Amino acid sequence: MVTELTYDQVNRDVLRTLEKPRPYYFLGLAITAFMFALGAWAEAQNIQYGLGMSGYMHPVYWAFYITDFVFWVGIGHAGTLISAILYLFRARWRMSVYRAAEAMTVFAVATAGLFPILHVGRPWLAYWLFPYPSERQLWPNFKSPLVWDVFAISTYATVSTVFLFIGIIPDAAAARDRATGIRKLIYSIFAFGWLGSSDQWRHYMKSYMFFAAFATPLVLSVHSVVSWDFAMSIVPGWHSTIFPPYFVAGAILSGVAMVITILIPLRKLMGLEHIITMWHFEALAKLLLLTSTIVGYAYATEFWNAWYSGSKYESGHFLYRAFGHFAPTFWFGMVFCNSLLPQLFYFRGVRTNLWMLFIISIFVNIGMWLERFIIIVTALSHEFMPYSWSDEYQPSHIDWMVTIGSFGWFFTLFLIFAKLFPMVSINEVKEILRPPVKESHK
Amino acid sequence: MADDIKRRDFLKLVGIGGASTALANCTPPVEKIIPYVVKEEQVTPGDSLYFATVCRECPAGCGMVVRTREGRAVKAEGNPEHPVNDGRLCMRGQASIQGLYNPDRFANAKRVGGGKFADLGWDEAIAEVVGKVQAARPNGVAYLGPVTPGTFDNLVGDFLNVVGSNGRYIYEAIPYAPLRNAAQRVFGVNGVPAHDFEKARYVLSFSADFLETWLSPVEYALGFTSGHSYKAGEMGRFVYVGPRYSLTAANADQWVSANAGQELAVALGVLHVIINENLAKQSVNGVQSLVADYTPDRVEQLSGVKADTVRAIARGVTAQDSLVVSGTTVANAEELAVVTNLINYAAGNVGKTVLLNQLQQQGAGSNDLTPLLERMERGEIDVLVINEVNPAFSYPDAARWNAAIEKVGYVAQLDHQPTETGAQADVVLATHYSLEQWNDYVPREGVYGLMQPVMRPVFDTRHPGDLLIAIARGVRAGAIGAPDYKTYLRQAWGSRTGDEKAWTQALMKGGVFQAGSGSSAPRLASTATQLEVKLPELQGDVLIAYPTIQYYDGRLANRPVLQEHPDPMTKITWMSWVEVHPRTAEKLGVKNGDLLSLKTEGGEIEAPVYVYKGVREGVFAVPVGQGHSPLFGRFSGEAHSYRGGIVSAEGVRGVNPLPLVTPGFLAAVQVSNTGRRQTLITTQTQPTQEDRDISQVVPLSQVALMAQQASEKARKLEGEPLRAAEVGTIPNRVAGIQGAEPGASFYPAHDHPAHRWAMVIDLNSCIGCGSCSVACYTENNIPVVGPELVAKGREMSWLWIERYFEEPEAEEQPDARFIPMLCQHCDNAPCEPVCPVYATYHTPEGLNAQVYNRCVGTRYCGNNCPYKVRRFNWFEYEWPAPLNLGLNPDVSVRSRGVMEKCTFCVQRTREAKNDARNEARPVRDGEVTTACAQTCPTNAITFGDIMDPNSQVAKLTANPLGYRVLEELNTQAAITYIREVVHDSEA
Amino acid sequence: MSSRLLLGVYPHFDEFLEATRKLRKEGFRDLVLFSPTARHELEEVLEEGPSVVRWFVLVGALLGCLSGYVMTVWMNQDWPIIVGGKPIGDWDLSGTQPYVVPMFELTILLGSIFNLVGLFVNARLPRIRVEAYDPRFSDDHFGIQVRTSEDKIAAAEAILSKNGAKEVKRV
Repeated sequence: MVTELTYDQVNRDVLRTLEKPRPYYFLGLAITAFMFALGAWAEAQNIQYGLGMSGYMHPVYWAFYITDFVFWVGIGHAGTLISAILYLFRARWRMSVYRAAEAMTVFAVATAGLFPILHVGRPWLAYWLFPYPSERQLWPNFKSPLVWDVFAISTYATVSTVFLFIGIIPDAAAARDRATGIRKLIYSIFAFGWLGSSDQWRHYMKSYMFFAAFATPLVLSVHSVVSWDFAMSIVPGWHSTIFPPYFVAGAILSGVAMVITILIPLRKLMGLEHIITMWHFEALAKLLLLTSTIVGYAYATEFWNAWYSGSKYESGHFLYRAFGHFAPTFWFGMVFCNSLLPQLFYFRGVRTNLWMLFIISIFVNIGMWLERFIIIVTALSHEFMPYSWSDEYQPSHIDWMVTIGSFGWFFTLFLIFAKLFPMVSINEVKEILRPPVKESHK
Repeated sequence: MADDIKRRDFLKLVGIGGASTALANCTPPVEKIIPYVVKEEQVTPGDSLYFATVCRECPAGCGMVVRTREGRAVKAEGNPEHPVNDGRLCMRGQASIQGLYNPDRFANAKRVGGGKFADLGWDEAIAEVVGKVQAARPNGVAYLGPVTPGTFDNLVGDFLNVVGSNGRYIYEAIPYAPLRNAAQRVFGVNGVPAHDFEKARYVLSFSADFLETWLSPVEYALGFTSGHSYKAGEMGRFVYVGPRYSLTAANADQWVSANAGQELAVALGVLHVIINENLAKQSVNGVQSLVADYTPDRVEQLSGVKADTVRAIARGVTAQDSLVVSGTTVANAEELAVVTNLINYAAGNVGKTVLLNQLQQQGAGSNDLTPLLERMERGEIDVLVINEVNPAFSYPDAARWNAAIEKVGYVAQLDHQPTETGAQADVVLATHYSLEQWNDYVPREGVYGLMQPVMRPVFDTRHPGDLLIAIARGVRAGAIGAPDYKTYLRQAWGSRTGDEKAWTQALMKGGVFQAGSGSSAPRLASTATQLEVKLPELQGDVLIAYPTIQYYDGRLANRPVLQEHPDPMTKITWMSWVEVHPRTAEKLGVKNGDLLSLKTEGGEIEAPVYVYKGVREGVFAVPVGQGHSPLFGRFSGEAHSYRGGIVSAEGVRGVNPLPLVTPGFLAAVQVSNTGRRQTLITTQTQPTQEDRDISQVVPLSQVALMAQQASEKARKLEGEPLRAAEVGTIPNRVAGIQGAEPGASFYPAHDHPAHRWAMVIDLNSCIGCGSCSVACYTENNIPVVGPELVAKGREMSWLWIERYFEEPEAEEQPDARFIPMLCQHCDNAPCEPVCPVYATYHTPEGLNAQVYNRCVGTRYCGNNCPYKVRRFNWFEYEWPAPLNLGLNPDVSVRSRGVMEKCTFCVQRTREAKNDARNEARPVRDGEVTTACAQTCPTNAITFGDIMDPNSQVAKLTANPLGYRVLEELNTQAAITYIREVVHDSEA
Repeated sequence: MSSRLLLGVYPHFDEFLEATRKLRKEGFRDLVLFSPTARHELEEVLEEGPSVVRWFVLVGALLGCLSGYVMTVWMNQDWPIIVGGKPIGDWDLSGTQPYVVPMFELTILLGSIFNLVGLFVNARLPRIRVEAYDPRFSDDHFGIQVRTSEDKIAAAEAILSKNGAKEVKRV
């Protein structure tokens, strides 16, 4: 609990993080920016010479980029979960961590949004997926899950961005009231002239509640739609009704893991240990444990379905997944990283050990990336026609560089944001503190 | 004469049309590009113009019709009027357009030095040759050329007369001389007897691959399938005896694997049984002594063929109308042919399936050049004129040839493309490609195929005939009665086509075709049984080289599409390999891709292993065709894929086994594992179809039952109205198809107002040759992507043959099944709804259309296609000039980043519909067909409008043996496959 | 008559609430409270009803759903193409199963946008001109702004300072 803090402490400690950065901040920024540059160069190759520069092959028409897409969308979900769903559940522990999680959401979606564009054969025409009035009066095909994606992802990006900046308004005001010069101007802009007057708070809280109420079904729908990219097809291993819940759980698993991975160093660097405490990490660990269990159950269900369906194509695929060419990634990623490792969180000792938390969260991140890779690549490698079965898929250096670039892009945005805005919501932390009262002095 | 001039003018005009468009791309430009001022007669931009000629990619001499657009040849198809191939072509013929436009062709005469070709003026070149010929001693000039039955042979004769020589030598790496000599010895005829496979109820082949390369494959493929496949409750039988499970063997009911080189022993054994069991329908005098020693048991020791099998064959051959054929790329080819003839005679096939009155004319070609070589070695040859043959590559005893040609004073090579032999010459006289030539070709008595230029020459080349005439006239002014070869040809045809009208008709028809004259009555020459048998003594491992359906004897190795097209049996492309039996591989401790070193007296080669049940233990089979020197061409050289282009390195790709083997195409070999590896480039890594039932067969005994079930099902559904999902689709009840029930769809169906294009593929006829695939490449401008990309599964083929081995691991004999796979144009196409921009959709005529311009390239359709027939353009693919001239102007060339696939040749459909509209009539059945259906040598593919109940395709769809691939997915595919009926023994 | 503004700054929450109650009892109705964070006590002492933002949200959501329906069906009617043997969606909702997703997403999108508009309109954001404010309100102080007439001003001032105001400003 953080109740022993006072309003003033919170203000000082959080706003201190916005002051002039130290050199290692710029070092980090340089590294992430370089990673991004790598990715940009690699993508330029794809655009100049054709997608053949990547490792694609027949019949593996989707691979790294769609994996990255699903991965990053998934990352985003934990943010919305913590900021919106837990808000509706009035979970008090969310207050000090949700800003970081929400920022992560926005940037994860911004990253994910790149991949549907750069994975297509003619990226410069990707805008054709939007229903805009063209002189030829051609419209998109609303039966295609990819068009659903366009709507879901763009809505998700818009709403979560607005949600983030709505939450920032009062904190920006706090920053404004202490800052000077150009910084004062910047924060004044993001504060929109916020005063914290009673009527403002009244509308603000109502509006915030509605945002949360919208974001909640939205986040569920988004990953359901993403999962339908697969489930709506007839590909054995994709064509399954359990995909939406299965994918949402997976998304939250990977997202929470990423939140932990980011928060542990963040609080250290920003000296917020007394605001983001072990209490918060334990809660996050429990959430991770829960979703990991759901995901593990989903994995098992998939195999059971394959067997129970009696479909030779389904069972053929899952035998291939478990014992075929890509089996090692399956056993390491889906079984070890995602299903077994998080089970350690049953032990309080593990939950409260920051190093264990950090390492396991990293493993889960890797595992979840591999999960998407397995679902996509193994399914496509082993479809209906034996003639087209192939173990030949191999990513090229371009695939790797673009993937690395996406991490660069994400962390660059995140670092800039972290210096610009309070990574802990000042006003909401105050909300759960006891306000300063006369009696307290007696 | 007026007509004559008119015709010549017309051809010139066509030529100008060709030039004005063609020359834009080939260097150096010969003349200015001038736009049409006055539209030429007959040449209407946008309209196709067809020229009949003869395919010269191999000696079979199939009739060909070449489609030209704006004076440019764009597509080769069979000539329906021609008795040999009845309108069909094999993949070699389909690829001839790439020979015409081959970027590595000679653009003009060349001086050869140090294996390099330097430009040389024509006058200078010819003057030089004339000088050399004049300087030559009497009979010092020799001519070495391929089989050219017809007027060209006469010209060669005249030429040699003029230069005072009798040195004419005919070379074919795949020789038919053994067949001719054997026929001479047995029947006393001068030529190779014709074969009627259609009449034969029982076919026995001793390593004769008559579906691939042997004599006249297209003709025999159609004859064989129509004679052999299931009809009215019964079907023929085909037994193949040989050391290797070739494509032909794969189409046999029984592959009798015999020791390499021991076919002769088996043949003698069969004859032995026929004589001793008195099975002969016609007695053969004096044969007893010949076959006495070859009891079935001795044959078993020699050849490894079970004695009972030998007996069974003997009984089978004599029990019904049969046909026995023998290969020429085997040991003792001539003796084998003699015994084969004797068996045919004894079995009473002569006059029925073996015809002595329509002799094949390819018999001159021999792969034994000893007489010439001896003269060369003695230094008797001052001038050697070589016409389009390549012994330096294909002669079995290459070392001897290379040594001998050094001793020749002067070598003039007439050829259209650089060859190893050309590199040994002093001067190269660049010749027209066969499609640019006036000529004729007589594959068989009474079949006079006429060749005419289909367009103006692409390069500054000369007609080989004109060159011989020019040289002759240089030697002796006014020699040879004609100034140029066309005149010479016209004169030669004077008897056959007296007046201009007849000549023009012959040109339009593609030649003059008469029935065989003379009697085909069975007869035996006195020499029939004079035969001393020397079986090859091969201890230990044996290397066999076999000609391939793609490259024939290697001459076609520089056709990109043939390089890219996978081998029918191994599905390997762009490389050489050595086939090794699993147990042999185990002994050697090698697996697929391990480089084996094969050493014989002829030399040593290294090739990667392909473990294959289709070769006998201890036999190492290497395909012929690869291993050309880099100068042969960029595609046969060490080509590499690079960002959609193909770059060639100064290296050799693959190996050439011919120098290692004897004229019998085999040799004892020492095999060792190099320990190095070379990954096999293949389009199919999964050998079996597991439990997927893609290619289905039905045992002969089950056919009746299946038909009954189908009719019962039809009766059951009789009363019911068509369910929604059936309207406008192919009702399952019609096809009598098991699997998804009608009405399985959740949505109501859509109907097809005018047409619903559909296809039927009869697996009884399909032999898996792949002609359809290559035809598709040339018709639809499908790019060739090169080895590295094929290895990544990025080949662009819209249509391919899936080859599945039906073999439990224990099974000794492989059993290959073939099924052509292409876009099934499903009524409920899974690929359509997932496209976000409607780039693929269902046309009112039932086609699954792909709109390239609208395609964004999400590739979702490709993922969702259960048949995996969608190809993606990973790069912008290149057609090195002038190959681009061969592009079909009716089909758009796809840019990078878009999906593509089979369109059912929509451009042909459109053409037919336009014609019909112009004539204000509905489209007739059979009027519109796809490139694959058009060329299929065995007529396995039928295309048409299934909404027309009287159409061929509608009738065939109702076949009770019909099924649709992955029927249970309820895609309502437009392609119905007809199950192959097999003898119960195989099922 | 002209109205005047008073601003009381409070370090302690309880006194601040107490002062507010007193003022209201004395009939000072035109009050604005300032607080560093949202506290339900504010609404209680001012006895305000629920915010009207919710109506904006409702309208936006309904509009979004409707526009989704109109867009998808109209565009398919405008360009009716058969894919996968599936029917073209129609106005009577037949064959529009796949269009539910766009409809849903648009519901959320327009709902959220109207929500944002509702907030800004009602909370008078963004605002440039500020009548009475103190930077400490965003830190740990609370404030009461009283708008009253010239004659009552002294009384209000008295109530404010008597109840522990750190300082009282006339604006």
